[in-house]
Amino acid sequence: MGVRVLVVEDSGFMRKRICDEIVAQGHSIVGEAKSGNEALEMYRSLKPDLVTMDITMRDKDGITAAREILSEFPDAKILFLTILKDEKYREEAERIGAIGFLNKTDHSGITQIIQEFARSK
Amino acid sequence: MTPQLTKNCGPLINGPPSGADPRRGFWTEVIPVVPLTALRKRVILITCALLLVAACVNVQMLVDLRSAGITSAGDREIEQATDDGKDVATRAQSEHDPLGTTRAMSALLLMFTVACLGCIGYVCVRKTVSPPLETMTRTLREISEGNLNVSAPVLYSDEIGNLGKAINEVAANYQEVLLFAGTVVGNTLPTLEAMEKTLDAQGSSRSEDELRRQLDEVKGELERLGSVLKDFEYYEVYFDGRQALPRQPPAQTRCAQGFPRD
Repeated sequence: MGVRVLVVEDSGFMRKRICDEIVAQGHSIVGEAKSGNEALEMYRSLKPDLVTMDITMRDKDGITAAREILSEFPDAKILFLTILKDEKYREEAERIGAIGFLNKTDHSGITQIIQEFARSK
Repeated sequence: MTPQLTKNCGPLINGPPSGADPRRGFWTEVIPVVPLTALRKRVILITCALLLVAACVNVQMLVDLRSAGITSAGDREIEQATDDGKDVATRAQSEHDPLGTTRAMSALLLMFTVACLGCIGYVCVRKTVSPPLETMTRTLREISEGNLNVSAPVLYSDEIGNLGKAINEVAANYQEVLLFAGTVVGNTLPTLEAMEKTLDAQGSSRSEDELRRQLDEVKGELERLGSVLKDFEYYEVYFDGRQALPRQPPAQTRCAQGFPRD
């Protein structure tokens, strides 16, 4: 069964790559948010199964946006996709209850974690 | 609005090259020209305000004329006098002095009002349009010089705000591409270094020397790419030549209390 995904990413170039990868796996993109603020609004209206969340965004960073989404929707599933290599961010992502923390160019890792999530749904 | 697709280059008869993404390369998306709706609305509003003031002044003028006892017959006389010649018109106007005085005062009042409104409009544009545009110009200059640790202001949801968003998205794209390339460098160099060590362990031969030369060439290219990418300033990220790191690692208290919000 396909997963309904909300992609949160400020870079159009990278957003397109992530969307293409997710669609190629047979899942659907229900929305694309360019900032943390947009992510919260779109989550409220779209109720996606999964959110892929960038961390470094100009409007509002992904950690803050994820924290706000989880405080309002504790069952939200958030997968952090970032290019940052920093254990503190990874630990923070785990602490707030994200389902994963991956490099956004690691397509095989993204595929695997979304497939696992789809099976567990 | 569905964007139109048009040919970019290449002979029309052959169509897109095989395997080409029809959305890119051969086909170019033509972005439709969107009118400046918000700015146009402002201009229309200002024009309407000016017309309203002008209408009020005219009504006031008519009221004044009527109160001064000027009839339409008097107006017709002036028009006739104007047709007959300049001297006659001057004479006729001097005969109807209240009409001339009132018209002159009304015209002066109208000019003064329009000048005041023009000044107000200029100040409004100066305060709401010019500063964000100047900031965006400076932001674009910084981006063009390789500093991506800047943001364009997005104060309003109008065309200027949209321009700011577009500039920020360009900077974000630029950053993602550069960091992606930088990560590739960081991932490739250790592999090449390992190959180099393997060659060192095996001793040298003619083919190995050739392989080493090629390896050095590739390594040099990657190191040059890495050094160029390192020279950019990234938004909240520091690229050390091999990997992307946060500019300031989040402190424990900062994590507990949340990142600063807008």
